[in-house]
Amino acid sequence: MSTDHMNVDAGPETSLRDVVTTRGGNDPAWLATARQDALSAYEASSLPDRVQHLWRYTDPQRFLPGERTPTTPDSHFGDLPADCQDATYEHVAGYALARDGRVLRSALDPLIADKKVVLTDLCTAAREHEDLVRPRLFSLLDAGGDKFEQLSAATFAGGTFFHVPRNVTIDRPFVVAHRVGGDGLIASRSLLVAGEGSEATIVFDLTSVGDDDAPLRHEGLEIHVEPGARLHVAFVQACGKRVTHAPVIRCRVERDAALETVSVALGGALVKSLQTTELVGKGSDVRVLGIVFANGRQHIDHHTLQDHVIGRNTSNLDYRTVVADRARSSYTGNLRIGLDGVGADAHQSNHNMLLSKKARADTIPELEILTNDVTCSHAAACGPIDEEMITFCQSRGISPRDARTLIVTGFLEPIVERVPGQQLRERVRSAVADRLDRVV
Amino acid sequence: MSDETNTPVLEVSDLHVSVGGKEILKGLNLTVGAGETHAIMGRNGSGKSTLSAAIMGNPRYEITSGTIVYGGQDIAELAVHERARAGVFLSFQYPVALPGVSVVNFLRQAVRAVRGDDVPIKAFRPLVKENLKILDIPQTFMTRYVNDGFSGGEKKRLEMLQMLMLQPTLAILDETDSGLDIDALKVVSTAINGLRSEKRAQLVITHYQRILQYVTPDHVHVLLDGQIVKSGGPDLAHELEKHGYEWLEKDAA
Amino acid sequence: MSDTTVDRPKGAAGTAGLGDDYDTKYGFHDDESAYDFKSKKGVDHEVVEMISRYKKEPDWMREVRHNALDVFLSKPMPTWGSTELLNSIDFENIHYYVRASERQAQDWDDVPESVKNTFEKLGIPEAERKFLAGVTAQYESEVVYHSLREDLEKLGVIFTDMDTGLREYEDVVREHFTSVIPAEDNKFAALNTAVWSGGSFVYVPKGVEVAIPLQAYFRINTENMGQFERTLIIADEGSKVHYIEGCTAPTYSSDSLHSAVVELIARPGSTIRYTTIQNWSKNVYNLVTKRAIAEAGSRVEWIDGNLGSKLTMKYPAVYLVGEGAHAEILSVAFSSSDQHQDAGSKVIHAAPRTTSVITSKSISKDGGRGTYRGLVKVHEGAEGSKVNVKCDALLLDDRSRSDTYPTMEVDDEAVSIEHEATVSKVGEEQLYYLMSRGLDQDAATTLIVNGFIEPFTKELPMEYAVELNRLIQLEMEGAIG
Repeated sequence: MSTDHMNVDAGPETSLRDVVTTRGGNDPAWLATARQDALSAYEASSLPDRVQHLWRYTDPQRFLPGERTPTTPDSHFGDLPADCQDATYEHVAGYALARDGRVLRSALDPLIADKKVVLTDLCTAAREHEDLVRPRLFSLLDAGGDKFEQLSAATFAGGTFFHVPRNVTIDRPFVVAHRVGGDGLIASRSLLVAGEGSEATIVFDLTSVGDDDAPLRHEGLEIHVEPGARLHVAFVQACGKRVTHAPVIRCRVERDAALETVSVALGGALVKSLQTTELVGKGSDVRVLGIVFANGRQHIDHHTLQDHVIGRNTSNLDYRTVVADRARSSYTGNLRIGLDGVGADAHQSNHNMLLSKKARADTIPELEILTNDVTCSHAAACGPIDEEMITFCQSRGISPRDARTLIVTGFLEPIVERVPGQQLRERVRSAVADRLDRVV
Repeated sequence: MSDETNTPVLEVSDLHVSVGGKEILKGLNLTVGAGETHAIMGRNGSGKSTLSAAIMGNPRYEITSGTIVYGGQDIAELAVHERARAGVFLSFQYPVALPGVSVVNFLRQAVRAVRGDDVPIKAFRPLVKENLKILDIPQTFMTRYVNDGFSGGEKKRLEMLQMLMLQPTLAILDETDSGLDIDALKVVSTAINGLRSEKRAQLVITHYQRILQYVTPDHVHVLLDGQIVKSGGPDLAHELEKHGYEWLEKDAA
Repeated sequence: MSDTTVDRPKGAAGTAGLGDDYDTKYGFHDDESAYDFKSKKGVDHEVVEMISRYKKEPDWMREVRHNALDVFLSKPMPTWGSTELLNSIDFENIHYYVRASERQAQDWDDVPESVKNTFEKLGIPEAERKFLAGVTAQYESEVVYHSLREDLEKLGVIFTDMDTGLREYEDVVREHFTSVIPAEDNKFAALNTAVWSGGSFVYVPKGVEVAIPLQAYFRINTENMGQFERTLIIADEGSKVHYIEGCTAPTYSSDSLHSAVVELIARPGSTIRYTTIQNWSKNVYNLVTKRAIAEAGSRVEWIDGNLGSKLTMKYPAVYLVGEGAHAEILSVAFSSSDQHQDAGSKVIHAAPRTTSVITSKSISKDGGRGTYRGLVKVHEGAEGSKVNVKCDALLLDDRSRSDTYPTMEVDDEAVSIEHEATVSKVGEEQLYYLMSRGLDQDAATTLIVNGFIEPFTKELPMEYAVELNRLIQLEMEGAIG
């Protein structure tokens, strides 16, 4: 086995180009061209510089496809998650089942389908809803930015397209269950659009088929929250411990709009996540929430950016991390207020709990403030479970072990409770409990 | 102030004031003569604090019409610090914390600014000491940061200390009594009474009649929905204490 | 990059050609009347050789210098901080060594009149000397005035300039020179090691507490002249010392480079406080490496004020290598138009129960940029360590900028790290309150700014606190409104 990372494109280059051409074969011409352009950009761009702090703790070479070839999506989903068995749509508004980057099937509450809500595979949408997809797809990609973002834009097998039309309000969440397998490259792209004045919730439930599956996942998401819309998005990632996962999430929030994202990172061997949120209008409100709970030798690296391009709006970030065993978490958060960001009210908080001596947490909460009439703060902390809290619990008859479980659960709960969808939320709670059982 | 005996210290005429586009004072008239102490009473939200802010010149409050004449001069165009230098003093309802700025440094700068020349440290020290004694404030107060971590009572005493140091011609006391226990109230009242003189005037703004037991006003005015609806002597305060504001509201309606 | 042809001999081989006829060939006396000696512009092995020979240094120091120059020449520019400004430094257009007076003056009367005048203008009061332990005033590269109170000498305290230190205490200097900051550490430390001149050498014997601060003033006074002082302070077990360095420099038309290296060694149970106020003129690149090694139970405090310079990149560091050692880094940065203060701190916790407190205050106005850049690293095994970081920035107008880049790396579970940062402007309510007491807007803003940096100011000796408040006042005058 000789994976020459430095010259990784030499061998599989032709196969990547072939796959892009093949996959683009079913796309409208504009998209096929965009894929080719993205591949060229991918090939032309160099790997992120490790001196640059966003990659200080994680080796970008590990996200190159190397010998891996793009996986042809399996057409069987397997057992349905509970949320997707709700035939009467009592708790969910609709759901989509995805395998290896492609949406296999989607279903909507007929009443909601009538409102012209779309939940389908992105490639299908590109053909059937060109008017909705074409103006927005790839519009949030950072042109000079992430090499891997270009990779998913070139090679994506499919992904979720979700569109809520103007002024449509939906009270139940949509669920996208996505399962990955094998050990190839799985690329997907998703596009979420909350139209003007609309309101919706969507959750992504990401798992892998078996514990031994070890794919490399490159996922790109673009989220548009149009004026006055309210969107709540959750990402629950509970893949097996051999998955490499690299999501890049780009959000754009317009005036008077609200976006709340909740990210739950439990699985994966190596995770490098990037989430940027641009606030481009007054009166908007952004909440970026996340938990990381890593054990074993998991390595989870998160980066967030709140960019107040325009001011008179608010953003709040709360990321909570628990690391056990020899796991490692790195968090870099940037809060940026541009020259026109007057009146921005922006806050960032990152708390890390270390449960073992060999665990490691890095935190870099940054501020870049270019104008003065703002309210900005950040706070970060790292430490073990407070001994006094354990002693207090003991004084009430609780064993130290139970006390630790209680305290860690309580630490994560304010974020967990923001996960929409009761069934999914309960699954997160039990996953946290299972893991605590092993590490406490 | 050409003719100090006849010119009122303060003359407010048909004053309309808005804050954030909402009109709070709706044609208020008030004349305070030299040597007089007036009490302005009214419920929360009646416009009491707006009146004090307008006289002091808080930039957040917009005078839409009417005049405020102080010592014979319309002060509409004067900046806040110019009003202070002309002898207007406001004891804040919510004094502002100035972290890192020591009380002693703050007082010296304020005294210097208002008097227009530096007070020699030799003269300044005994003056401060004397006033600390009047207000029953410990010496350690001086090295603390202005209102930073102060209790409600401490903040009000510091306001009074500033008043005594600055010797204003017109002192406006905005709810200076609120949050004070009886001992503190007595101390504060002593300070206010100590400043009464033929040349000075005082405007005591309060929700309760309590402070007026110690500071006897010459005139009492009731403020309701941005206007003075009733004026009278000290007895009016007792009446309000007994009957509340309802009977006036009914009258107004 | 430069119009000067630079000969770049490598290492010892490169210096071989610089023979014994060096003195006659290049000459040590420059005609510029006020200056006894000034090196040619630019830096190469020739210049390094010349400096070392002129100072009659031992061979090992000359070797250290040449090796460091190779490091400097081979190391790339940092790719972070203000890369644009860094890359605009023209290393070939700088004098690396200037000597202002022929010999060290033993008392104030011997200090040349022109030098005294400069100090006069800068308002260093003569009375200060009465209560200061000793004054080491560095006029350009060389120490011209040095006195040390007799009682300190009796206690065995060494406080001298670095050149004298090297001559008189060669063994001590040899043992510790570059032991805290090797030339390889960074490009500018390498440059300093190659061309250093002046700076202070301080040794405080076991158990000795130096009750009054040791002071040194540094000035840059020749256009295009770099200043590369080198300071080494060793506080032996249980001793205590406070060293103060103040910098003010007149303004010149073209750029100057200041690149100092300061090495502190705090032996078990000792305390070192190092106070700096720099107010370099706004054309100076101030690129300084400061680092301390703190052994068990010791305490190192960096009190660091940055007012001047065009670009400052300075991150005072403490390596906590002994159990229970403590680091305190308190800094203020004031950035005005065309200024970038890229300052911060670095603390490495490498022993159990070590603690650090980092407080950074930054003020930006008139388009200035203040950057806090910090690293806190807690190594495995440093259990029970505690870190507290607080960064506050005050922006005085809508064109100014504040960045905060703190990095925290935690390798041990049983530690506590807390970090907080805020960015704000002067509060409207505070202004209104102060103005209601008769202060105009400038005076009110100045008072609020001085209050904002009070946690820093109160750690300064009185005369410095007064000077700092005055400098802020001068900066603020007429700038608001």
